[in-house]
Amino acid sequence: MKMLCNMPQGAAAAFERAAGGESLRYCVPFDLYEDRVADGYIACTDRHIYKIVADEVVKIYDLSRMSAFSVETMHGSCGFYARDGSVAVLICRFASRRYVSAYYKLAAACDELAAARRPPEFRDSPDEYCPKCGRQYIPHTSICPFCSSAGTSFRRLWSLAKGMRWRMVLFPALAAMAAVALRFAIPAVQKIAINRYIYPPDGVQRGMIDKFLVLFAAVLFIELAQRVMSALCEWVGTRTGNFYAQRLRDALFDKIQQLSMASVSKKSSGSIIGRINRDVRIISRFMAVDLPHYISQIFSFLLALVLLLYISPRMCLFVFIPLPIAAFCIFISRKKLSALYRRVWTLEIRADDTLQDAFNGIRVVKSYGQEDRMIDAYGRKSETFTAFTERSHKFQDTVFPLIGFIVRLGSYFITMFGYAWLFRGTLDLGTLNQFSSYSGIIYEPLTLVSVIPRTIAQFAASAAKVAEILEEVPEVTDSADPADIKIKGDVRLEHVTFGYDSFNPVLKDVSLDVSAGEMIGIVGLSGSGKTTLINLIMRLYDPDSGRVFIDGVDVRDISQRSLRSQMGVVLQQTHLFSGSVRDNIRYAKPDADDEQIVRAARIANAHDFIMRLPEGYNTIVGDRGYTLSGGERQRIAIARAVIHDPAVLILDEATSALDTETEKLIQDSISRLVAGRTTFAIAHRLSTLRNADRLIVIDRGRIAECGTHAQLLAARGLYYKFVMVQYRALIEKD
Amino acid sequence: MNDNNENTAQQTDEDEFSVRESVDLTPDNADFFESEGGLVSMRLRTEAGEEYFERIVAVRAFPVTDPSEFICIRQPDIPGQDKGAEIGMIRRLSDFDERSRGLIEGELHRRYFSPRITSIIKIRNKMGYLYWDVDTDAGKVNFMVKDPSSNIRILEDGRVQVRDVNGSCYRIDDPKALGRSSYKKIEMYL
Ligand SMILES: Nc1ncnc2c1ncn2[C@@H]1O[C@H](COP(=O)(O)OP(=O)(O)O)[C@@H](O)[C@H]1O
Ligand SMILES: [Mg+2]
Repeated sequence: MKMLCNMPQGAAAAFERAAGGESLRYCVPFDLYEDRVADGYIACTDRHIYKIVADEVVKIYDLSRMSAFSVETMHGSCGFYARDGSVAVLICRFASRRYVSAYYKLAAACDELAAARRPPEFRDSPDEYCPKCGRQYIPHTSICPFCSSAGTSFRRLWSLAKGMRWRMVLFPALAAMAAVALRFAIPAVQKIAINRYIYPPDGVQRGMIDKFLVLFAAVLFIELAQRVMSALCEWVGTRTGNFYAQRLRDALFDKIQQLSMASVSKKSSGSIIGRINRDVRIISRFMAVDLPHYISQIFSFLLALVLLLYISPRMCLFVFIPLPIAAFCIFISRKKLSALYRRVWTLEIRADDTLQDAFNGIRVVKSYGQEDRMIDAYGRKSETFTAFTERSHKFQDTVFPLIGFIVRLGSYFITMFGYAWLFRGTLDLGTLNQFSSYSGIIYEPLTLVSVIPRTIAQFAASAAKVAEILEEVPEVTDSADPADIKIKGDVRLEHVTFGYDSFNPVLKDVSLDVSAGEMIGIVGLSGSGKTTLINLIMRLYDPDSGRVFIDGVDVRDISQRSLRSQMGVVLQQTHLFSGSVRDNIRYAKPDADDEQIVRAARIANAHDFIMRLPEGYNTIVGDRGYTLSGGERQRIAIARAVIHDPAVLILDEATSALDTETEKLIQDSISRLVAGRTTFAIAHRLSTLRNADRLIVIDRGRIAECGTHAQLLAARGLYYKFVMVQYRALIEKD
Repeated sequence: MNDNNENTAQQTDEDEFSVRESVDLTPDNADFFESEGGLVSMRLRTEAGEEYFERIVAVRAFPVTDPSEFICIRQPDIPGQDKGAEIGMIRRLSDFDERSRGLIEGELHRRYFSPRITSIIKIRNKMGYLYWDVDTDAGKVNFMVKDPSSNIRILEDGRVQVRDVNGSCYRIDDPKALGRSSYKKIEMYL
């Protein structure tokens, strides 16, 4: 979105008339006026805001009187508000969220302009619109589904098949073509057999039986060769199809690992992973099986056409008469069919979602005794789904045979007229036989016409979704020449501003200087941006403005690998990978030996409970393994961090979920871990942070206070209040 | 004496953290009127005294199932200052006189903007993305819907909600009432 967009002539003229000589600083469109869709612009100069609708200035605001510019995102629309003197005003409304970021920037800029300060410079974000049709791209990509066809995504996926194209498509296609060609040979041989040996024309001597046998053998051989070719084509197709699917999955996995947290957290729900898998299956099947099949069928059609014309042009007429009728039927039913398929598909997804939901929430379902209701809900969805599946099958089973019949009508004509001509002697039996065999072949690809559009549509939808992921540009990338450095542990933030959505800053102008070995406690209400601060230090995201330095080097210049391999994190919720306790502990350092593992576990106070597990360090934990309690998981996470031996350690509410007893246990292990390395510890229980060298208090995205426990208490600010509240809560409990 | 002092100090400390007490708003304790800027102002009378809010925001607790009951009246979020706190809740909008109701409904209408689709001109499915051309009570619009199975929502009472890629919402009160040709175009996505 540009901050200075071009107004159409009428609007620009209206602005000129109203503004006189003032120069236009910002111009942002809006699309709602008095509850109607409209073409409006907010034009902002150094002194005024002009609201322009339908080529007329409908309102002028005097910037010097205004303050508190804000954007409110509401349900279905957004508003740009401000204060005019002491009165709240709604400057404009817009329905499309694509304007939101521009208005946030405009609000920030207007605040500055209103205070007669220099407004900040904005980078125009890259174009999100298709230059061809003006429609929106899929967010974070440069794909316009409207303009790109199946061909565009096909090319993208085709490039992935590098090195196996021949095997995957060309060879199966050639083999299928060869099989088709061989099929054409049989009627030709039959024709010779019939005309020469069975019913030779008058005056020609009947052929010898041994030559007939040769022909018979030839037919047999051709038949066999054809089957072998078909089998080979199928076999190679399936094999390379699987191979391609694997490659595609790898590429997707690679990409997903590269993508920033932002886009992954939007995608990674279970059902979406299932859908990606489905898409991969559809794509690879299309590439390796369907496509060669279609190529060979098209080839077969063309070959049959040429041969039929060559053999008997007049009989070709009969072949082609039913074609327009069949084409018409197919055209009509296709629409209805695709609607039916679509509906079935939608209903299936809805039923699936219910199932998935019930499955994931089985504990809640059971503990509230709601099994019957879930069964009921699923039953209803699955019932409609079944009903529609049946409907679509019924339709399909009526229409396809009908089309088949119409298409084959030609063969009946051929037989009828063929025999008439035969009796009249204008046609020989061999030719008739050959012709009707070929006409049989030509119809086969035609029946495909009803299937191909659907498969292609399905492929296109899947391809688009996969391409969307492959195309996505990672938001956090290594610079051209990233450095691998050995981190000491100095961390510095300079005027960092950041929001997950660029228009809604979570951290505002945060600066912080931490020297190596220091332990920093971070406190603040939940949602104030503590985790976000950590995410920026770890460079899971890049700040919108400002910089993060580690050992004086901008984190953007450090390779992500080397950066993260020297940071350790213990989160509130620890993810254990499926695998043994041992594998989980040495996750960040796979070459750690068993002695180190046991030592780490001891430091983390985990050794004791691990020894009580059925298979000690080899007990399988994780998704499907032994279930550990929250405290036990936490201690494994700490052991993981111990063995990792990071220069910078991050504890994000590592002990918040635990009871005080367990926390004491873990606290010990943590204080051993913390010694000598830069540590950022977030905690709600302030007692957890008593070892911290310094504390920072984050309040609504800003660092409100910073200092030692004693300093902050003396300041009697926010921290003091936190302490008081917790202290009082303790007293009241007793 | 000393005790007392400490107590008041603590009281103010707590104020920073505790949210304001939400009151039940009735015609007896709340007056709504149009502000100078064309928005809604409010005067609230409680035992503690009278309070004036230059601008209030109305939010529905159950926008889908119960749009005219349980309406929260809040202060607006002022950037860089405070998150708007709840002032109180209107149990039933119908308790208020027509003028106040009109003001609050206007405010609600601004907040819950969701054009009603009156007819569907065209829905094109391009690679799994739906491009809609529709007529609504707010004018003709076209928009793009991603992942139709989750962005087209059917409510319990048969209403349909459509959310486009930009977060705009459209509603269809009764798909069948749109007429045959429109219904046929969306039938398959329901
Ligand atoms: N992945 C995310 N996408 C969008 N917003 C987020 C995301 N993570 C956190 N937020 C928002 O950012 C704000 C700060 O969150 P966070 O840093 O997690 O707070 P906390 O201080 O509790 O750790 C919250 O308002 C939260 O809603
Ligand atoms: Mg957090």
